[in-house]
Amino acid sequence: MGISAGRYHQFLTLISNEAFSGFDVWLTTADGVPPSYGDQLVGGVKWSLPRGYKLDIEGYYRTMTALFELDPFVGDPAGLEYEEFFHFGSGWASGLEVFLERSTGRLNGFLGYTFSVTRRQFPTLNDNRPYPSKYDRTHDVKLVTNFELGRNWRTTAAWSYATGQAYTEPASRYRLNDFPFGSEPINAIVSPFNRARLPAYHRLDVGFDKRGRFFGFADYTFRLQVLNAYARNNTWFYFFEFEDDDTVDRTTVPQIPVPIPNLSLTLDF
Amino acid sequence: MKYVLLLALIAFLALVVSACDTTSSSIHEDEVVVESYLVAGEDISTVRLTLTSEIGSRYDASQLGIRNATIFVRLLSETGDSEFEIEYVHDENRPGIYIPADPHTILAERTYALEARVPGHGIVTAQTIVPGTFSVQRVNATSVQYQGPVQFEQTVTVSAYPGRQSVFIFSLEALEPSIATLTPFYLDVIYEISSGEEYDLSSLDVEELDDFLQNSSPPINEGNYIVNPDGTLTSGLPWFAIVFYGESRVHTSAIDDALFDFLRYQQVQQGGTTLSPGEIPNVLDHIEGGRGVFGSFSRISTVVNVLR
Repeated sequence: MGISAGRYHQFLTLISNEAFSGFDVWLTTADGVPPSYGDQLVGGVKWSLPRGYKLDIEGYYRTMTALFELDPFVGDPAGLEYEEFFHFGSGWASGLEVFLERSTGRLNGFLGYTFSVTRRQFPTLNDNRPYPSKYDRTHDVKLVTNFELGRNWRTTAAWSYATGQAYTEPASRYRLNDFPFGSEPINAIVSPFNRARLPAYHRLDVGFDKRGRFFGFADYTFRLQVLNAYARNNTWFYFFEFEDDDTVDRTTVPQIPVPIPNLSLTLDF
Repeated sequence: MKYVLLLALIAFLALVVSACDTTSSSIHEDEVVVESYLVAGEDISTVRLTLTSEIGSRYDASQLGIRNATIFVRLLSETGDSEFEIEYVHDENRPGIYIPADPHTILAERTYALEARVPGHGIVTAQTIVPGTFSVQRVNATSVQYQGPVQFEQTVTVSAYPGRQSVFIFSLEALEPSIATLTPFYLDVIYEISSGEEYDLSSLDVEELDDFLQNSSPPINEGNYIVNPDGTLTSGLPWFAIVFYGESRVHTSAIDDALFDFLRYQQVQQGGTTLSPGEIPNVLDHIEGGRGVFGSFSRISTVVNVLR
């Protein structure tokens, strides 16, 4: 049994673009931009069970204070002070993790389950009310199994499941018909922020490993793997667009919806 | 055998969770939408009241127009009391449009309050502080050659607004719009005709020009200007803003918070920001009990002739 508590500070914030990870930018604290911090309390119990099984159960609660993120509503940055580039918020996360593992025997692996709730609050979003962040996953399941087929051969299967990411499902729209800047009316969407969920994410990866010596100077693992074995059509995000006929069209941007073969060779010296 | 059972368990779990995907949909509720723009030094404007419409349905402004509201606009004193009020009457020929019953010239740097009583939807209120008037001090030219050595520049005085720097919108209103007067860049953008490429004028749809008759910039901070020693601000008109050869009217508008917030939030709704795709914030509107814009601005205009 264990329990721990602590305060953790963060002096950087990541600005990322989900479509192009190469454009990630880290921004730092400065005058007017204090470090964010969180207080965390974790408690758990561990059991060693018969036949090589181990069971961990852990609960946690953490706060997030002085979160700083690039303010998406700044628009024109000219003439602004550094702190005016940010919006500041808070949040909290709580959850329960159950982890069952077997590391011995021909059949080994682990089963992990997490129930969690994550909320964030920024004055500029959701009328300053807490909302589920994009990191909020109510249920998260991971099941990994390895089965030793014989000398140096092994099969693996990894299945994961997660509650769909929170997103905003537009409910209503309105139009400014006489807008004085521009030739055309201008449209706006009305919707509860991040109250809907994408379809749940789940995927099965299966594979075979062959291990041995590589010309006598290294250990090798040759792996043949099929990712997304049952061709789950997971949704990346939805994209909403006003059409010429005044309707609003929803486009689903999927993740890779077909099984992907993968070959790898790993050498250990 | 155990392994077979485990695989069966995995398959079962996969089947169960894929059968209960967690999705939900948002529910539409009718809300009152206010639309009115007060311009410093000009006659008080009309007010349009409409309802929000369900997403996915076809938008029809006349069907959504609210006809039975009672509307007042009041000029407030510094203490927030009403100095006088103007009642509005519905224009029966234009559903949702309300016309001021009395004339009034909008005063700069003053606060106006709107109150609309809409049967079935309660009371909708909003306020706007009209940005201070400003003026053109000088322009460097009244005619410029397109992409020539001299770019059109104007120098203006500062517009006052409480608590922040001025925020401007530039709008270019074409006075001689036609396909034949399109600049090469926009000929390519609108009709995909490259510079120098021959085309049949009669085969092109002139209605495609409608979107470009008034080209407006996003909100631009005072900090983007060159600040002169006398405190005036100088800015240039970028070539890509010019759609048509010939005369265009350049409007420079200093906008209030209602317009500024509407525009910067509405831009975020279009995507391309640091929010994740699918995270769509509502527009920050300054309307209590409804949506929309009860905004104001001050503006100046000059005419520039763009030569080929």
